[in-house]
Amino acid sequence: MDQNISRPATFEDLKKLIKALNEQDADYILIGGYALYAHGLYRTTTDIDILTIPTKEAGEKIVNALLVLADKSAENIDPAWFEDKDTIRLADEIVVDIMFNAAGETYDTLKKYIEIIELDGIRLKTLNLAGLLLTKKTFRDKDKIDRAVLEQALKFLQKGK
Amino acid sequence: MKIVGNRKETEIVFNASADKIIEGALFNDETQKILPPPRGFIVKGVYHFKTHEEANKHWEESLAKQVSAYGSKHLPPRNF
Repeated sequence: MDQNISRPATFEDLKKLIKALNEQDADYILIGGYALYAHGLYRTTTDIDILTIPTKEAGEKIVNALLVLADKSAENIDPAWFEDKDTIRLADEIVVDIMFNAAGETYDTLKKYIEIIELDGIRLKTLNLAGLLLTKKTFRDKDKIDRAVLEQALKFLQKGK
Repeated sequence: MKIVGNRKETEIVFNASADKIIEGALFNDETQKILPPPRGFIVKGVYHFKTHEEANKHWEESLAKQVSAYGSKHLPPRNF
C-alpha cells in the first residue's frame, strides 16, 4: 500500500474518532456519507465529515481528538485556523473533513436537528433527516443524488404521518 | 414493468438509527475491499480550502490522479 496516501475510513475508524471527540467534549455533528447511513441511505464513502464551531476553543478540542489517528498529522493544525471558517481537510491514516458550514448551514442553525444515537456504547451526534437534507443543498453531483433520494423519502414519511 | 428478484431496498428513516449506521458502515467496509490498493487517493497532509468548490476540486483531482496512476501502471498502453 502507498504509505503516502490516506486509506478509506472504516467503521472502526468512525468509532475511534467519535469516541475521541466525546472524550474531548468537542462540539461536532457527524454529516456526510456516514450520517446518510444512519438514515438507511447506503452509498460508498471514503472519509468522515464533521461540522463544528468556528472558535479556537472548539479547534483545540477537535485537534486533540484528531491526534487519535495514527500519523498524528493534526499536530500541524493550529486551532486558531478554526476562526477563519475555512474547510480543513486532514489526510492522516484516513481523511477527515472539518467544516464550519454545509450548504450554508452552520452548527448553530442545525442544532435543532441534532440527534444522539449510541453506537456500540459510543454516543454519536448526527442529524435527523430534515437537517441532513439541508446540508445536501449544494452544487456537487453526489449531493444532488443524495438530495433527490432524501427529498423523496421525506415526502413519503410526511404522508405517512 | 417486470420485477426480477425479491431483494428489499433498505427503508429510509427520519430519525438516525444505530442499526442503520452499522449496516451502512459495514457495507462500505466490504465494498472498499473490492478496490485495488491503495484504495484511497488523497495524499497525506493538512489542507485548507476557502470554499467548498475548492475542496471538491481537490477531491476530484486527487481521485483522477490516482485512477490515472493506476491505469498507467496496470493497463496496457492505448492510443486515444
